Amino acid sequence: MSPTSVSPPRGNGSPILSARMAELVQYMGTPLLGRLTDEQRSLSLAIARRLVTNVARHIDADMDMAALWGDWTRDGIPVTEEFARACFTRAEEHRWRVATEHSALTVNLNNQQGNQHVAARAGDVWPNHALAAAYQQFQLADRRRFDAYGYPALGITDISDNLFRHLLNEIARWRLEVLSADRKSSAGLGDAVRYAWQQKTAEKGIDAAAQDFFHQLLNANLLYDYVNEAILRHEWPSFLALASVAQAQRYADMSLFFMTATPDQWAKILNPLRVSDAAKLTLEEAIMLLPARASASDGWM
Amino acid sequence: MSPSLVRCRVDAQGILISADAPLLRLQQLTGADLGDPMALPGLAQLLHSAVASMRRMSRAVMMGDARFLMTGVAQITPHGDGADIVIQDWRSIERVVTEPITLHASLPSPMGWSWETDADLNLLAMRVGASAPPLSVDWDGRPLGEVLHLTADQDGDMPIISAHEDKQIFAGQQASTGKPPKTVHDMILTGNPIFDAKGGLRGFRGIAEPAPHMDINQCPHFQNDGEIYAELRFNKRVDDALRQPLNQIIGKATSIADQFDGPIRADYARYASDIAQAGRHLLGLVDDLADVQNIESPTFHLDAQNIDLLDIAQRAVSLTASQADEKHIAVRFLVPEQGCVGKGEPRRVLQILINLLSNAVRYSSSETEIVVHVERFEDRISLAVSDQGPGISVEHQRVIFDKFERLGRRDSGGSGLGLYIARKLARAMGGDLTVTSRLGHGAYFTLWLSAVNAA
Repeated sequence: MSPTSVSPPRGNGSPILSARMAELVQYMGTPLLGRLTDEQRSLSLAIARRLVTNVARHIDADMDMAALWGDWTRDGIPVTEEFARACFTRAEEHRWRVATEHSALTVNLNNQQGNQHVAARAGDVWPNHALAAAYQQFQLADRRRFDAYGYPALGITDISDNLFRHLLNEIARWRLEVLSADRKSSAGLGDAVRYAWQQKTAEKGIDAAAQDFFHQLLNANLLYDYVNEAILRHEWPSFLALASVAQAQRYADMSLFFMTATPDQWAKILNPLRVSDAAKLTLEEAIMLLPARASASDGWM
Repeated sequence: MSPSLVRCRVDAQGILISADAPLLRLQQLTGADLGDPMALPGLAQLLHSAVASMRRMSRAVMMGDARFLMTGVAQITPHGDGADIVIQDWRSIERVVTEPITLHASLPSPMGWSWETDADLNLLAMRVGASAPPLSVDWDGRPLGEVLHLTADQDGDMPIISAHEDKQIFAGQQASTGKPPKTVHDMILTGNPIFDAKGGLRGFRGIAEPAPHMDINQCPHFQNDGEIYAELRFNKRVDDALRQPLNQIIGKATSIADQFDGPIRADYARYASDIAQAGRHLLGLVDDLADVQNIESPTFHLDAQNIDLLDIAQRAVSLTASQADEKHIAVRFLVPEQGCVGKGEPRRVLQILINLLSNAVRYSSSETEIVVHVERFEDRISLAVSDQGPGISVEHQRVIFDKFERLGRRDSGGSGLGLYIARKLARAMGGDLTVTSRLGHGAYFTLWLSAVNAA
């Protein structure tokens, strides 16, 4: 008697089951190094939620944010690659800051090559008021990238116009469905979106603050000293900001570069900023503290 | 004393086959050993590059454990059997580990603020809790001492100033948000210094909580108003004793349930969600009890004013729309053509209508309809909420407005105080709250308020 071949049951045609199977197939097919860790996934998602809430609040402060996010997570967040990239970048930067913040190192590297710099930072005396003010504005811009509980977030000034417009449109689309029965409120939605857009262009974010800070340091002839100090003191926002302006990049792009590039690839960024060997060593050691880094194997920029 | 030269060797598969003691100790600290792949990240990466390119490579490396940081210059020489690694100028430096800044330290209660300054005590961040005293909006970058009025303690000490000089933790710094005759809120500040990797002071981070002695009567403008004072004092006590801990429980449980700080098992997330849900129920009960305490006071009264009842009814409907949507319940709004200006206190009218609508949603089946009907009579306006729920028996209608009356229900849906409060409030505004119903035919609750004739 020949063996009988029986097809395994294929499920009950549930679209949820199909979607989960598709996700599992993709997950299992992704090489281990290519997968997000659970921490990266949840941190990025939480940042996305705060960003959506932030943008929605610019349209209508009384909007039901929980309902918006609930609907989006249920039906699928209208994510674009740029949206995901912004959240992932902020998440990775935060993980790096947390990983290095708690362990302060006293490293006496004064006798090492290239460390003949004068300390120049907040807390010491800045040579002029404009520089002190620029540094303070930069710090304020950085602190705005956290929510009320100190969790990492993205402000509308820290995302591109393109992403901001995308989120405004998607949130307005959701709001329009909710308000479909309320013509008066629906009519006001367009004005609210236009007003939110104007607010975005009127505010300064971390990129603008970084520009000011960079040029003030340059004018005071302290740029290269400060870049080295920022690295040695683990002041990563300052370092990333100055590097981004030097390379005419956005802060987020520079941040993602350092989170993912190999030390060999750093030279084109660090050499023009005259980063000393001691500072390079500190940077390399600090970046190694970031677990599950999405390290690039080939070039960038 | 640390040796200045450390050696090790790996085979062609990258397995560590021999190592000097200091390097082997580090390898073992990672959980690996001889016979395992090189597990020290900096060295492993360099090794990989050198072996892949079959080139001799040298680079400064740092490795470490919790106490010591090792530095040196690693030279890797690949060969047919693997690679030899020599680390020159091997030095160990003791780490100084600062106290981790925990999130909890920067989380104030809803009555407080959290703040952060730079090294010169200029404010960089200020987050005001939901029930906290307000703060002037232009704090950005301004000195803490300008934004808050800092005062010395009984010994003439200013803890924050001493802490700034000594780069130490401080507590008990008295501060206030202004000076009489303006409204004054007394706060107590605590803070931790923040250091950078070279030990330099980066700033301070801390919280501010209302001063324990802030019994409202400290505020001059409350001193001559016994009623408000009594209500606020009671609310303050309720906040301290119940709302604050409950809010913290709800906040923490929600964070856990939403897995904001990282993934947890699904059943644990559900338990946390249940805790948050129960906390919200208790918080609702606390709010109801506080309301009862206030409205049962012999001096309780409401300042009725002319209000647009249509507008308030619309707001109540929109605030409860999501609850109705969840159960696929349609809410229909019937309004008269002429305006409906009545006498009442807007916040309390809204509270009553939300209570009626929430009850209607809670006790109605899915796919039914709720009707909000606003009608103008000669000198009165009725705001009625009718549903297609199970209805209320005559016996139950007699007691439904009694305190803690839940008509035999034992679920966690309500406190049994909502309708009691609603009727008390309606009557305090010169109106009333009534119910008509028949079992199996839904319920019809009507809020009656005095009408105001158009000028």
